[in-house]
Amino acid sequence: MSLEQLIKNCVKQDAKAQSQLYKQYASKLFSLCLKYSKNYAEAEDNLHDAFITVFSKIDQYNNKGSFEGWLKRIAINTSLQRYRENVGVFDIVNEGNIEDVTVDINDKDVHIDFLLKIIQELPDRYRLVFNLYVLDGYSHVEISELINISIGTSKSNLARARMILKEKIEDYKANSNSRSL
Amino acid sequence: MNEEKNIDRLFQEKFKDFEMAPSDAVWDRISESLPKKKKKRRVIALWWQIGGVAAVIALLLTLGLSIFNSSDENAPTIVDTEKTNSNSEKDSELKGTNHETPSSINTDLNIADSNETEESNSKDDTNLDQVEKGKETLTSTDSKKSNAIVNTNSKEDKGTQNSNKSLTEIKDDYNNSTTASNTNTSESELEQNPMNDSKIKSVIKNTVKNKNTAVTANSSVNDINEAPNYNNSNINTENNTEIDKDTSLLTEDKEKKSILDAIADNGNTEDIDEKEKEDEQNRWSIAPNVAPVYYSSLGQGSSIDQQFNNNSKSGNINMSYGISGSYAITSKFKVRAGINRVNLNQTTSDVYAFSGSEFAARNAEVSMGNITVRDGFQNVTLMSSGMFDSNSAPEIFNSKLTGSIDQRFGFIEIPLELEYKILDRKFGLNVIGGFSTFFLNQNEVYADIEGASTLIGESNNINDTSFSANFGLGLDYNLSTHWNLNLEPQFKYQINTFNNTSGNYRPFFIGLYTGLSYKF
Repeated sequence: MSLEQLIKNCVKQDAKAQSQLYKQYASKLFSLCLKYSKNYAEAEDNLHDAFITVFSKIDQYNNKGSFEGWLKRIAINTSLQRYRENVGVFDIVNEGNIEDVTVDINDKDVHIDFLLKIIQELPDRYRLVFNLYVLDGYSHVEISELINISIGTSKSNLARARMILKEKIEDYKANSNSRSL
Repeated sequence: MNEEKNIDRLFQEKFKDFEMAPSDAVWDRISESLPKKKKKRRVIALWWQIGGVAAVIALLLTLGLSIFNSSDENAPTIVDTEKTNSNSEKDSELKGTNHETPSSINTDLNIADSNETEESNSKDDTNLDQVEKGKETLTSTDSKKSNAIVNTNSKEDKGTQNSNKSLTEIKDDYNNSTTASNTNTSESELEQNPMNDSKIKSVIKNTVKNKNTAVTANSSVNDINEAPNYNNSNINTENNTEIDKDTSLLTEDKEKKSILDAIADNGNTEDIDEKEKEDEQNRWSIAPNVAPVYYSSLGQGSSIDQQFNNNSKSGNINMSYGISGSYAITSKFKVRAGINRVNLNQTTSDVYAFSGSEFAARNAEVSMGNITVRDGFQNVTLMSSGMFDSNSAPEIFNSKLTGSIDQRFGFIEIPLELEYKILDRKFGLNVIGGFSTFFLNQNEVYADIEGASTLIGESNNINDTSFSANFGLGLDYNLSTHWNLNLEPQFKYQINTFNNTSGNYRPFFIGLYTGLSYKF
């Protein structure tokens, strides 16, 4: 079945089509939810909410632009939603703008699970900003509108996130080196 | 070996092809909360259901009457077709309604949703376009924002007057306004989607707060918090967005109302949803029942002999007891079958009883054709009092004894019925239609003479197998999720019970079935 047909059937709320659509995109969207959530359970909740939204609004998808992109935006927005409600948990930091953070590490030394873990461990807003900016290509202006912070805050949060991640990677590297000795 | 690596690049490369399958439980939860079909279909299907019930009842009626009026030999085969007919009727019923278990809640929610979206539709459209354009939206949204400034200056003024808020409230209002302003950002197409669940929650939290002051309070919070970060251009855009938020106030109020409606709907319909889920889980039920039954007949006539046609007949209240099981095909329809023990009796009064061979020999024409008299009672003669002409009554009749004939029947009844739910609340109301097959297991005729009851024989015109068309009304009361109290007055029109009746004898019985049903 073509994607177009699949979407049409989903608009008709055909259970089979819904199931197939889910199977096709669940893994992609779940990885997205994992990045934006602080743990596995929260990611599952977000994935659930995202798909409910997808199925209830699929008639509003107008076949322009990438369907996967549409799905991803819904998943990201669903994940952000949680933090928009709890806007109070955002701490206010004012940091200088540090753009180029480098870390001395070989690609093969770090596993994706570890990277995911340290992303999830970031303070909420740092995690959102880092994901939006670095991994999903949003600009600071867009981020400021998405999660209702200023552009400056977005930039400083990103810098802080990079620093924390760098420290954790370096700790990890030091530990694994000492273990291997 | 190790190279200095930009941390962004590291994460980008690692996460580029990162995919992870969620656990199956997530899909189970999703599919549970998805609406199954659309409303339009529902309406059609409802007509199918009602039409189906009407068709079944009409079919049973016509068949019942035609069987009753037709000759006895044909009756059993016709009854067979009745059975298959009604089965196929049920099958088509099944097909028509099977996939049709949508919850009204979902459609309700959709309605609420669509109201909501309609209100912000125009905005959505422009936003959709913006999303399509991707990141180039910045310039276009800016121009839009300047439009907004022009439109809503006065509104903004009003808002700032209200901005004297206590600091303690600012936080809550800030929450409020962030949810409020979400709908206005360039992504609102996407954001309004999750409104259903999470947003509603936040709205509940915040609705107490004054909506008008929310936005201005928000702006002040923003100013306080973010001021150090502003360079000039930032302040400009920030102000613009604030004004934009103000413009949204008008629609926001409406939206909030519709969200509240949605919450109300949600609250109302969640119960129904739960009930429906329950129904899906508890399709089977079993119900022992007892019923007082009253046997009588339509029209004048007698099952014994034509001489008794005009005698008054009465039935005693007897008991029927049994057990029935049902299966819910849809939330509205149940098929049920069971087995009951039924006792019926009928007393034909104003009967004179004579004993003595002399009389029996002299009045050969006094017949009781449909009663086979037991050994030892051949000498008993029963006559309707209507036969007597008091003037010509011979002396011998002075020895007459007044009494009555009491016929007692027992059946094993196997009902097969269809139940349609009209009302599904704490109190439920059902319409029941179907038929029963009866197997004769008791057949006695007593002569009640001067208070003494003597078994004189049995009726010889009762068929071993007979049928009835059943109609009833079911009332039930929900005791708990599993237990129901039932009360079902039922009318059972008997078909093919007697072979050789005289007059216009059409027996029926009425039962008041009470029972306790257990759903599982």
